[in-house]
Amino acid sequence: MTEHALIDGLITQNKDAIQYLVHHYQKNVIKTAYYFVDNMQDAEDLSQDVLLEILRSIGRYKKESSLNTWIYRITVNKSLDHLRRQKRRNIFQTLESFLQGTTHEKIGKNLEPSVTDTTHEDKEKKKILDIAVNSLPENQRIAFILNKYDELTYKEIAEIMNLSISSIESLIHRAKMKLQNKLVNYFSEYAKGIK
Amino acid sequence: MQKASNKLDCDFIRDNLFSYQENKLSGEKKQMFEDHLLICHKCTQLVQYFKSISKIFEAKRSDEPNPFIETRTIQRIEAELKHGNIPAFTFSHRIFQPLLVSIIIFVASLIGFSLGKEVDKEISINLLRQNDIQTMKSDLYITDFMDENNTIFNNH
Ligand SMILES: [Zn+2]
Repeated sequence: MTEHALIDGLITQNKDAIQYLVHHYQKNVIKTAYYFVDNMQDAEDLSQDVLLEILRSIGRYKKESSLNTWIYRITVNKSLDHLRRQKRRNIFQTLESFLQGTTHEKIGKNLEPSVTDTTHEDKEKKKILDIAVNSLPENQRIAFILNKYDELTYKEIAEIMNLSISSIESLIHRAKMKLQNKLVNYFSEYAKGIK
Repeated sequence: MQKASNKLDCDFIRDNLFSYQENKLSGEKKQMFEDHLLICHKCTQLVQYFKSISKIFEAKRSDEPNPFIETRTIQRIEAELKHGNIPAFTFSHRIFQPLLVSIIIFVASLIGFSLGKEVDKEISINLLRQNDIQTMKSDLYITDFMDENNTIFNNH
C-alpha cells in the first residue's frame, strides 16, 4: 500500500488501511514510547492512544512532513505527556509516603548496591542509566533517545523535532557530555561501594 | 617502565567515553585513549563500567512487545469506531468543511464591511450636525464663547 493510499484509507476509516497501519507502524511506536517511558506495558497502552490519535486527526494531517515523521511526533508527545502525568503522581505519592514516614526506608532499599547478585546489579545499572537520561533537559533527551535507541539519523531527528541538523548535533553532543559526567559520578560512588 | 598517569589524561578518558564506545575517535586519539588505559587502573575500571552501562542500550533495544498487542489494538480500534468515538473525515467533510469556512469568512467580511460603512455614515452625520449648529449659531448671532473644543481655555 502506498503512503497516499494508506492516508486516504485512514481518512475513510477503511478496515484494510487500519489493519495496515497497525501492522506496519505499531511496533515502532511501541518501541519509541518504551525508550521514553521505560515500561513495556505503558508503551503498549500509549501505542494504542497514538494510533487512535492518528485516526482522529488524519484529516488534518498536512503532507509537509512524511507520515512516519508525523507519527514519531505524536508518539514523542504522548510519551512526554505520560511522563509528566507520572511525575505529578510520583510527587503526590512521595508526599503521601513522607506524611506516613516511609520515604527513607524505601529509597534506602531501592538504591542499596549489591555486588553479589548480577541480575540485581544489572537492574541497578539500568535504573542509574534511566535516571541519568531522564535528568537531561527535554530537547536533549528527545534527540538522544531518538538517536541512541531508535537509531535515527540527525536528519530524521531534525525533521521530527523541527530543528536544524546542526542543532540536533549540538543537542546530542551536550546530552552525551552530561550523561558521561553523571555516569562518572555514579562510578565513583559505585567504586567506593566495592572497596 | 610505565609512565605515571596524570589528571589531564584521566579527563581525556572521561570526556571521550561515548566517542570511544561508539568507535568515533580518530586513530591517534584512540591510541592515546588505549595507551592511558594500560597505565591507569581507575580509568580501565571506568571504561568497563561504562561498557556495561552501554550494554543496557542494546538490551533495551532488543526488548519486544507482547505478540498479541496487534490483535488487541485492532479490536480496540473497532470498538471505538463502533461507538462513534472517532469522527470520520468523509468526502463531504473534506469538501464542505473548507467550503463552509470560506462562506463564513465571506459573510463575516461582508458584515464587517457594512458595519464599517455604518460607522462612516454616523461620523458624517455628526459632522453635519456640527455644521448645522454652527449655522444656527450664526443665524441667531450667538458668539462663540465656548465651543465644543474648549478653545477658549486653550488660548494662552
Ligand atoms: Zn586515568
